Amino acid sequence: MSVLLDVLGSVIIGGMLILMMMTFQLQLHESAGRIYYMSSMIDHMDVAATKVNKTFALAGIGIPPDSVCVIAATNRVVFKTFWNCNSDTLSATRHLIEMKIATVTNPYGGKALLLTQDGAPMEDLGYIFYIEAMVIKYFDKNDAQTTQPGLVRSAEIFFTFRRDSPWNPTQPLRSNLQVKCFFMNSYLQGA
Amino acid sequence: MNLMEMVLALLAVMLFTTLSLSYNQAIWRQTDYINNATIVVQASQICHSILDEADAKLFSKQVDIANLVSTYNFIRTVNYPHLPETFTVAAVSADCDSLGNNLSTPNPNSLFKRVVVTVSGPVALRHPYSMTRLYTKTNM
Repeated sequence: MSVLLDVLGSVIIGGMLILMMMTFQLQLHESAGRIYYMSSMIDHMDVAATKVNKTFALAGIGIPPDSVCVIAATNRVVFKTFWNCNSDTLSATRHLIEMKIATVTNPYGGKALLLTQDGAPMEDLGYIFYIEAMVIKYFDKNDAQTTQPGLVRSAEIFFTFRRDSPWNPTQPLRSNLQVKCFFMNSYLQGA
Repeated sequence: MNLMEMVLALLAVMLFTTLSLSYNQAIWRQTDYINNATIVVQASQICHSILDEADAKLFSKQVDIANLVSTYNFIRTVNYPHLPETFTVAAVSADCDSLGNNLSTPNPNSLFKRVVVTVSGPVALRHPYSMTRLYTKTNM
């Protein structure tokens, strides 16, 4: 009888220990997956902020400061410039650049930041993926908040990046970033 | 259970506790690295925003380069709705030479000014993040 109890006890303890080890391994596996996803996301956030900053900095070339911004909404901005963002060269014709969140189906179903020039997505940075939401606040030349397009000289943009979790699609990974961009060409003209 | 069995059981408990601790510590450390990396991206954007603001104000002549040192010498705190922590932003400016070395005697008419923006504060930011820009007076 005592031998049977010993065997049963060892089986229970051994089973618990194996379960514990399996849980550890799964946790470690999941953490490694999350770390892999997040590290690529962090790099993506940095690149996205740089691209948006560049687009803003090249706004308003050849345009009077009070006419640069056409639409200054909290989720959308449209501005004018004589810079051709597709060829990255100065242009003889005026272009309308728009930034907004759009639903895309390719290469993945979800939302992306869409940058268009004269209504067509830009060739090299038309879509910035994994951006779920964008909230924009505008500021005039004295850094006072404004909603009037004619007074806009800089903008604070709050991005929410979203990526599906490697293990649980119902619990996506989200990270936020706030960047401030300036209409440098408006400032160059005296703001 | 004799003495030997008790000692063996104790050793087994110690072994599995050590394994558990080392696993959890590794996961904790990796989470810490991720938090640090995320905050670093935000900290770099804070530095960019301060330095870009200095660029813009110099372009529009709202700030004269002779006043850059006095304007961009401050310590302020910044809060963001998406982060529970408070960032401390310190801007330190100085008259310098063309290599960014401080002048032995500050000279407001110096052709070169250096602005260093350092962001610190959140626990997740393991080390303060710093960005430097050297300004040159070109329009004389």
